[in-house]
Amino acid sequence: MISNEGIAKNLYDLYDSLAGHELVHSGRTGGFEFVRHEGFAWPNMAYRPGRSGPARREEIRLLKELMVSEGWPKLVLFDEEGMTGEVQELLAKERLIGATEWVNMALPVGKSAGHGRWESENVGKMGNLECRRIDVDDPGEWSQWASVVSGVLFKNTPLDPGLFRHPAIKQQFSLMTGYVDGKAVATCLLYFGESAGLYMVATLPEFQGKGFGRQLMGYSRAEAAARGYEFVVLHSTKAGLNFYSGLGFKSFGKLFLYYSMQ
Amino acid sequence: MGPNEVLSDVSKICREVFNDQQLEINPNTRAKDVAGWDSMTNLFLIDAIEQRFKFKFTLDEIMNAGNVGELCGIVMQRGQLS
Repeated sequence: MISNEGIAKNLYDLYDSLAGHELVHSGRTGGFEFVRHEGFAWPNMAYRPGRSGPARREEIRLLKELMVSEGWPKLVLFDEEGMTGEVQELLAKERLIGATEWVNMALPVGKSAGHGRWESENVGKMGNLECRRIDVDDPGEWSQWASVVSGVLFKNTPLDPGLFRHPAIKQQFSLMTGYVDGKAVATCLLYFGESAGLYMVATLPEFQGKGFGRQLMGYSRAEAAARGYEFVVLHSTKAGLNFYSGLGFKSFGKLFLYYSMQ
Repeated sequence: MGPNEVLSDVSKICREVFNDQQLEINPNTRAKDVAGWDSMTNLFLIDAIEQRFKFKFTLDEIMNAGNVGELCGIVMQRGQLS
């Protein structure tokens, strides 16, 4: 079975997997861990796995000290278990301000998941969207994938192909692109953790609302099922909730993203 | 520095934060008027204004400022305008 803690853990595991990479700065203070790829959009995050319990005053003070002295990370992620009233007060005192919430969601994809809304999921070309797992070493495929992700999710801040090409990391991800007439219009990153995790889900604004995101989700779901996963998990913004609920994802708990003001 | 100059500087910051050099900003501009102005980018904007004018917004001001004019008003009261 899947749990709220398990869904959150998938994201922490993704960051943990990046922490050992030579291009990624990482460290720990108290129960907080952090990863950052300097000069690039991702990763750049502090996080506090639920196993660490609610943060104590001294831990939050030390994290803020690090954020100010180093100028990074600017964002810190908490799960619901760690977000007590006392922690919220401590965060406010340190000018760590709630930026957004993500809802942990999961969709069964194993043998018991059934079919119906994903009839075409095993076909690479669906309607006029061609879905493909890209070759990160192909500069054209990489640059199209990165352009969509960077433009839609990271204000055009670049992503580093070197990070995604690293052999150890390549085995942990599949990067998916949906093409219309050869143009990349939708993307996602499928992470192979304890569950299959969907990240960097993006569709170019002018192609939204046409079912392309749904089709790419179906393609990714099929890959997860083919690899033997029972669930696909993700963390949805408020804006994405209806979309994912419509695909059959069920909501669990929340993750809270805080931003460090200077 | 007067209100027009403050609005001009805040407009430049908005164009940078929202990644749109054509963005037209006036005192009545609200979050819903600007593509990409959400709870996250609002904090990026506040942070950038604080750094430019060297002061800190209160938590209430961050949460409750309704439009660009209100942000500029707070800057006029407490920001370093030189």
